[in-house]
Amino acid sequence: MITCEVIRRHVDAYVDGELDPDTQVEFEQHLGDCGPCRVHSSFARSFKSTVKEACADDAPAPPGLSLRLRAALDHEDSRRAAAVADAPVGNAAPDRAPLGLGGIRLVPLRARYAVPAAAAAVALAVIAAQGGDGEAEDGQQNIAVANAGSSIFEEVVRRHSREHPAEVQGEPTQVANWFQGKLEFAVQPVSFSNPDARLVGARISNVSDREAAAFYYTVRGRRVTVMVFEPPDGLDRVARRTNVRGRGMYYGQAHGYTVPVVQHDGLSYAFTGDLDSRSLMQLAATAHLGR
Amino acid sequence: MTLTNAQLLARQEFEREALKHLDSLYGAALRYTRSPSDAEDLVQDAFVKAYRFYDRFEPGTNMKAWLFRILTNTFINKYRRKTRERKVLEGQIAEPVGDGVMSRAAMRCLTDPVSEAQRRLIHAEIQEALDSLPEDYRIMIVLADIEELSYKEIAEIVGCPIGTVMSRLHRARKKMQKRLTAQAVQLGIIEEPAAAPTISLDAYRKSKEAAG
Repeated sequence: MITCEVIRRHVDAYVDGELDPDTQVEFEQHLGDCGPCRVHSSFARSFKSTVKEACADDAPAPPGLSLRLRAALDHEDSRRAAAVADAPVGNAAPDRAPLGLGGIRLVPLRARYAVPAAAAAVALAVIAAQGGDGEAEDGQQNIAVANAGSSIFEEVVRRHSREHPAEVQGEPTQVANWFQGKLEFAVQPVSFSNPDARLVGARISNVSDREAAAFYYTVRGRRVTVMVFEPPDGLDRVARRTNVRGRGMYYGQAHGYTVPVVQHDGLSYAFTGDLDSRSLMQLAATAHLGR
Repeated sequence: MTLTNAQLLARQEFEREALKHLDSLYGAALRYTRSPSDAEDLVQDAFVKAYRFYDRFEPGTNMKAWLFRILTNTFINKYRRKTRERKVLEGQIAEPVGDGVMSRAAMRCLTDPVSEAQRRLIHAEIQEALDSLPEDYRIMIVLADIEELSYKEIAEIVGCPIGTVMSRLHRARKKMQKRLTAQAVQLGIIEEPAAAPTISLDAYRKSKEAAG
């Protein structure tokens, strides 16, 4: 005869349907006769189903996600194809360590980014539409496109506001050394002539589906993030362009942040932070970029 | 880029089969990371990893469980903040969660919420209780209660014995229920204090009849 104690200890397994059939029959007999144990088992059952109901209210996957996943798979396909093409005699592509752990990439950039770049162009079209300059022409299309994915600027702002922990800290040269071989491009932290600006850390990150270096600074006590990545196609078509202190730059806005983007030596440097847009533009205009 | 026909077919098949589970995977990722942008990143990492190892997937076995294994492992390895948390959970310091967490009266109230408004409140509290769980416990609730996977499947996904699944799941539920009870008292869904384990069901019925 099963005791109440055993029933209550294993009531979870009972409602999860994990008891063997004989034990389950014994459980049910006991529950038929024992009101207090029935309260326990109904509660456990109701709790389990309520958890599922409560979480069923969650948003489904955002509409842009499957597009983004397909782009990531395309990226993976072209990586494989290129690795096969470059292998000595038709060997299969070797399994590669996850992104950011180094390893040699043999893939020509054009091919690798063919599709992601198209996705980025879509995202950038959104920025243009939302830019507030009254340039949006086809409202219908803008809505469709706006659902398709987050923009480069939004991604940069998100990386800033999430405050992901730094993976490396130290002097700029140490940080630069740490990055060696970790990304597909060589990168160094930018430096500022402003004496209040200080590099506090960095990490490997990504903007949409391209790798990026994220550098964290404090400037006059405010957080500033600089993301460095390979330039997305179509920036010139859709982002606004300006000139600050003789330096040309693109800029966009997302979530109330301004994001100036400076192109230099084949890389894009996106700046954002808890400063007003004027200060950010000045910062972007005077930063020493280089590698 | 050039892919062989076999590769193209594999790609199409993978995409078709894996995308079927996108909502579940995203939902779980959202529960794991508690952040929409991290959830998207996590799903993407898991997708690419699954695609990379698709040739190791045995056709005819449970694709969803396989994808969840990759998602969960990716989360455990990459996104969890500290390993310290795990040690605390597995160690002897872990606080024992006894049976006396809730009174039966409280259980009855929560089993059959009186109104739609109460039901909604309870849902919100459950979501918060889940979000406040340590990661190892949260994973258990997601896999067992939301995805309704078996203990055996969960053990394989997480890479621990079934006994560990049972004890973690038990503790996770008790923790949530404890919190839920405290909140329910505050919200007035449960009338009496949570700590009244001595009340008998009969006494409770009588008091209910007297009140009613």
